[in-house]
Amino acid sequence: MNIYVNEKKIRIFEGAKVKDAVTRYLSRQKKDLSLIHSAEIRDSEGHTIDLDGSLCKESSITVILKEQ
Amino acid sequence: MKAFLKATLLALLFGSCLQAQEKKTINILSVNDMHASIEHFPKLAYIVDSIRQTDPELLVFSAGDNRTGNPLNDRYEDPSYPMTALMNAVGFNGSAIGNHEFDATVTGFRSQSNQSNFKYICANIDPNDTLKINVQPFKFFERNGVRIGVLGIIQRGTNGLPDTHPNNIKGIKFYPEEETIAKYKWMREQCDILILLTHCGFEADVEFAKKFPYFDLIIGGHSHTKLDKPEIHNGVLITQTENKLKYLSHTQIEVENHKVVNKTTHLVPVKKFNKSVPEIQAMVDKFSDNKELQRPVVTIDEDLTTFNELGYLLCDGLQKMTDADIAIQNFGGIRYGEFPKGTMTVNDLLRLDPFGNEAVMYELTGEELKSLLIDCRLHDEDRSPVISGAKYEITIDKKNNQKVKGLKLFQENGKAFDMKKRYKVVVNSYIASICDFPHEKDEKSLFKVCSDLLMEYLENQKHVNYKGKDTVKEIFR
Repeated sequence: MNIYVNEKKIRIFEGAKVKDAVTRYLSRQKKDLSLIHSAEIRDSEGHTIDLDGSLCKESSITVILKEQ
Repeated sequence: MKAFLKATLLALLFGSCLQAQEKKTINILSVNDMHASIEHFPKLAYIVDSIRQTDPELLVFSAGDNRTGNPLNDRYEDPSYPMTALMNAVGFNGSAIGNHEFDATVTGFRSQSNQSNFKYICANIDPNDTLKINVQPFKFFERNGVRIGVLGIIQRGTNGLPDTHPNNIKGIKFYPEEETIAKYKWMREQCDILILLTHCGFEADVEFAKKFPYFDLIIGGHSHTKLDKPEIHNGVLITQTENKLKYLSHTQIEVENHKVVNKTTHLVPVKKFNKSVPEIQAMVDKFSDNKELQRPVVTIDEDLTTFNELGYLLCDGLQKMTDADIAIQNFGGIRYGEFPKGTMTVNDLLRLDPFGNEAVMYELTGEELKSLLIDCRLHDEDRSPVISGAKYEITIDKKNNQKVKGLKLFQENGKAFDMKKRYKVVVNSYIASICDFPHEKDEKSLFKVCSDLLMEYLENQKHVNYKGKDTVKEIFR
């Protein structure tokens, strides 16, 4: 299924959770994957969502990284 | 005439006083996606008890996914009994069914639902009566002369089933969410406050609010969304509290003459709260002293002394339990590289694979599999992944460890590998997230946790021997 992370389209397995999409995004951006634990993640309406949250196809999320 | 006017005015004044007296506030506490965070229950209990002291008529709901996420609960002798006992002790009045409620199959949920003092509420589920699951589509509550109706709904994925392995929900039918909600519009006429208790995710809840504006409140879960301000969509108040008891939601609905005149909600921090109920803490302590973690799972016949041997153990269980042709384990996910012969316990297994990653199934050609293995290595600090159901030789540039010069696949017996054939390849969800390689067919989560699959496999084996198993040959040139 397709998910949008920071407006970038990401193809990921059906049933993926927020953490899976963010991991894919960080990996693509060649960022340290441990940044996921301090990242702020929001849904399309700006609400905070947890890494274990479920996603559906075409979900759009925003990841704000707190670089260490 | 004067006397009549006086009497009328008095009646109006008296009437308005009566009306003012009829304004009632209904307090509702709700949580969602607790995922077996039993450690926060003593604090939750303190908050609930405090509010209940001022309002004994308080209602407490969960929007589902009460279990899954803590072996102390999920691996309890009677799976999920700790959560059920704690929810009973706190005094929950109802719960939606979350997709994870079925993680211990229908049998597990039967036990969970029948031991609950509260009702599981879900309208788009049709459990065969023989399954004896304790669930009802809706429930009415009377509080202080106010009638409150609650309708429950569970999410369905693209296959029409909740996000759990299909084997977990054998014998249960699930119906479309919106069609089901529409059938219960009659509830509006029979109550003063109408609540939709869902486990469908925030985006779905917003859609429900657009299509069914006659609900006063939607208590939602599934997307683990933190709604820290009152969210009103099309007149419907929506609440959700992220997950794992970080917060609870306190909603207050004012009713006057059987009509909702005001409603608001706010989050109350639970995890960071500093007071707790000792009796509930004693229950948590008892459940935390879980002998289940020390339970023997399998006997390891010979000392395992390499990461590859233990990685093969992980792959073998995953492959066999999912009927895959091939299983792959990233090297970094094998958490120890030695294990002495003898008993392997539940705790030993959970230390070997502590991540709770779910199994993901691909259908790959030999060429696509090759790309997956190379990509996995690249994203795992240049450590070659372990494989079962096949073996491979990987040639690496000895001057540049990151550069793979070639990879050749073989059948596990050493015979030639058909590169054009399509194979069922199972991996953990971490591999499926980091590996970004070209492949034709979409991969899917099996909604089964890898360590659970492995445990089930090993429990049925009694003895295993992976000594000398090495399916990866690295050649530095």
